[in-house]
Amino acid sequence: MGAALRPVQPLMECRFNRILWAMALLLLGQILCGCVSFRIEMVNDGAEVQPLPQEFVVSKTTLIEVLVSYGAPADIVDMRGHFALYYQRAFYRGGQFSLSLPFSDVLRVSPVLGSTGNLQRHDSAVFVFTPEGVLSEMTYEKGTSQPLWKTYWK
Amino acid sequence: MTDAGNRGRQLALGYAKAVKGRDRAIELPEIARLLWICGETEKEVYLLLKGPLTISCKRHRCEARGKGNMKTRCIRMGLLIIFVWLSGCAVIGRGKDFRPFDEQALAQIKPGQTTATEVTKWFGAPSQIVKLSNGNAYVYARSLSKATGVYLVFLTLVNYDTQHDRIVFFINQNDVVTHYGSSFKTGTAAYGMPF
Repeated sequence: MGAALRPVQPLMECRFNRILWAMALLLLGQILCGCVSFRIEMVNDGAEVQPLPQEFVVSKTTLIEVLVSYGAPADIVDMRGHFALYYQRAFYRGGQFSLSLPFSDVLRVSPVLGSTGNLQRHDSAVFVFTPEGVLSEMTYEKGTSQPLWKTYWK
Repeated sequence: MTDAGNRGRQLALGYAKAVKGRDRAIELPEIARLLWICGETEKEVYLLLKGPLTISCKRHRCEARGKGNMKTRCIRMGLLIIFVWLSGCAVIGRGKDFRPFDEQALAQIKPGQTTATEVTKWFGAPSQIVKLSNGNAYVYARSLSKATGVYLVFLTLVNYDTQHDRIVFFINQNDVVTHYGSSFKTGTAAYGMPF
């Protein structure tokens, strides 16, 4: 191999490769020691809440129609004469990332970098009735249709 | 590689001169010499690229391997990482908030006739009683939770799904059932991943 073919570039590659390997081994060691962790959670509580049917009309629809259509509510609230049926589904998404360096034996300090975030969204429908059981008010909200990331940072 | 490039450029220049005849003298010996040098260089480059490249770095004493070896190393490293990641464990769990009410007993309920006493006789004590202005509401509820957890070395994935069975009876001031509603969803609780 001629002297002209001894390039400078492989020398840099050697250094670069060595650094990469050292970093990979360090990261692997951290992972194996449990110092790096990433957790993703999803919690769903309740069944899907249907949107309000068009047949439901205030001052006409009765309690029995709502019970037939939606079933038993998650909660019943007395409102001093009127009462409300509350249907709800809760949907939770959470994430946690942590990176720690176990230096406590050497420095008596262990730096820990942690980050957590969670978002709980709700689908809910509320029907308010008169004491006679006639619908006087209704509302619906589908929180799970909101985008996860944008809603979290809103 | 710079020297080889210079030789190539000189050769190209020689050719150009010969073809265009600017100097009116074709330097055939010079072109032949450059052509020979280029051939040798090409041979060296070919051998360099074909076999495993080993260039000794005197100062650092390290080796830069050929492309083929690097690929094999990457595959091995990838397999090792996948193996380490997959050496975690998976957990499935089931939690139940149980109330011994029977949904078949709902067939016996007749609004306007069934009394609160009969409701408690057939369904037991309610989970909750809500006081309303014109009576009470008896609520019966139970739930089933299913949990799935995958614990890898670095990554933890957790999923919970909770569903409920609920029955509600509206009872007037005369202790008679006026309305009732039910929903049985515990059968839909499912194990899964948090995606």
